[in-house]
Amino acid sequence: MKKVILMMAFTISLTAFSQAQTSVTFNVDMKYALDNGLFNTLTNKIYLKGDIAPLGENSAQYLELTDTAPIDSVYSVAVVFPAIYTNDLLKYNFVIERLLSTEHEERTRELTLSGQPEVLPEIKFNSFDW
Amino acid sequence: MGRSMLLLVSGLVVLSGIIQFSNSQRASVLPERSAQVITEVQARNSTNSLIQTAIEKIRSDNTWEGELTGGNILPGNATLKTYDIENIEELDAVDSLYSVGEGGWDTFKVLLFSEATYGDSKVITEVLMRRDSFSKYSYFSDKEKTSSGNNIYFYSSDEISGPIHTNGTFKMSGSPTFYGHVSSPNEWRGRDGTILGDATPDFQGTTDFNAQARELPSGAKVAALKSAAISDGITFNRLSYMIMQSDGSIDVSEYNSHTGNWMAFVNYPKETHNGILSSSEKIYLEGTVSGQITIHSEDEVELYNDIEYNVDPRVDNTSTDLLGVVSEGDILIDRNAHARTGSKDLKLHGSFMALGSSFYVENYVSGSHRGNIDLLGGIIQETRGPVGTFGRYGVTGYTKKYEYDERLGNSIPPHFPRESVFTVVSWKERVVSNTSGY
Repeated sequence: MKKVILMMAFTISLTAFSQAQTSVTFNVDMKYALDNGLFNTLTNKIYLKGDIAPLGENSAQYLELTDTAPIDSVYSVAVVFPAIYTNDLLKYNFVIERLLSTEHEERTRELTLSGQPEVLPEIKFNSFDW
Repeated sequence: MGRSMLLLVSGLVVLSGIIQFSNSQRASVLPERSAQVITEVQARNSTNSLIQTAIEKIRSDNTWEGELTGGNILPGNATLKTYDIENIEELDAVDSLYSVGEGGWDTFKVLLFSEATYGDSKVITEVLMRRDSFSKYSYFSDKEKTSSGNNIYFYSSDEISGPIHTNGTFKMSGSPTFYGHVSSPNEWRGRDGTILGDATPDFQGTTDFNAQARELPSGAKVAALKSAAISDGITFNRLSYMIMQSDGSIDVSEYNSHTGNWMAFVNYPKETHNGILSSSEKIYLEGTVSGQITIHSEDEVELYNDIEYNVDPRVDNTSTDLLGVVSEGDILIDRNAHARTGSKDLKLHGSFMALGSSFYVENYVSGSHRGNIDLLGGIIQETRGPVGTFGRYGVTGYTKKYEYDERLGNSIPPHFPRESVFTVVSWKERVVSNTSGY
């Protein structure tokens, strides 16, 4: 009986871990914003928020995007979503925090977590399709 | 003095006699005329009633054909019969008024012939109806939201001429300009979801936001296009790259999936393709259009570079160059299409139909503003695809400069799909009395 329970536990854990976690790199192109004084690298920060852990809607759960090498005004953050969320629909968008104000994107963005690593296109902050 | 008076009195007497005679004549004719007018009106009402009934029948079932009679409901003796390419010869025996117009009879036209007799009057009414081609739109969509459910907008620098229609709801931001007729079953909305919100679209033409929904072509109509390609044109079953040439020929390179290589270009002269090329696989397309050509793919079509008419109809109105592109998948603009000719703007001449589902720009969210899509013709799509993004933090993709090709109101690319619904082309009526031979 013990062996059967062990086997079942092993099978269940194997099934759970056979689903890959999803690694997603989010990118925001801030070149136009920097060139036109809409974003100040000293006093402003850009964050990612979403509805699937490790992201959250609470500002404490926001993840900061940074312009790492090569310095090209594209701000990025890589997020690993646990395997249990594979095939779930992530709703997310970006936030700019300034000294005295916070600007949220007006639209909600969506991404289905595929279980595969993904690098998303370099979008503009608070942009709309036309 | 006495003589003059006598003449004057005599003249007045004669004049009075003439007036009296004329009045009595009129009095005898008026009831007859009035009766004739009444019988004409009754006969006209009967033919119009039958015509309206037939139009309603055709609009609810576009395959309807047959005969109608007034029976006891309509005054007089009224009948209606439909004529099309199959039986129009039967009508030639009657002194009909119909004129089928440009292109002659084809399977897309139907004539409603109604005649009614009431008393001494007979009225004949003939209404010619036609299934329009989707190429008559400069912009058409069945759904305005993207396949992922995002709103998609017409924006300030967009300029669109010609008739545009959606079965969904137009979304506006800023002040896009519409020069032609704009129609939809739904009122447009701004970014905040209201009409009087943050958008001020400039409608320079007419609008109808209570319009009838228009169905996209069924599989049967696309099948007809494929079958025309098999019988008259050229078909392909591999990924292909087509470059249209100014002499009307088309260079085609096919991809050999076994070797992983593109094969050498083969030139297909105009006489061999007869203006119809179809493939079961994806097509990359560019070039100069000479003559009338329809390109069809069961997969998708990628526009790789400028596509221009050899003779621009805006410069020379005798141009017969006409292109239709029909994709059962998407039609996408290659991410570097704007840069291949050195100009930022992309020229697209033709009518582009994406049935499954969108016309969109590859990687439209990234980079900077690429220029304008200078379209001469139209875009028809099942679900609207984006061509760029806009906002305070920068613009990507293309601005829409969609110019309607007036020729598309009457001319269509070979076998380009038609609408399911009929529209009235002409309405002719004649009143004849029995004394004139009827």
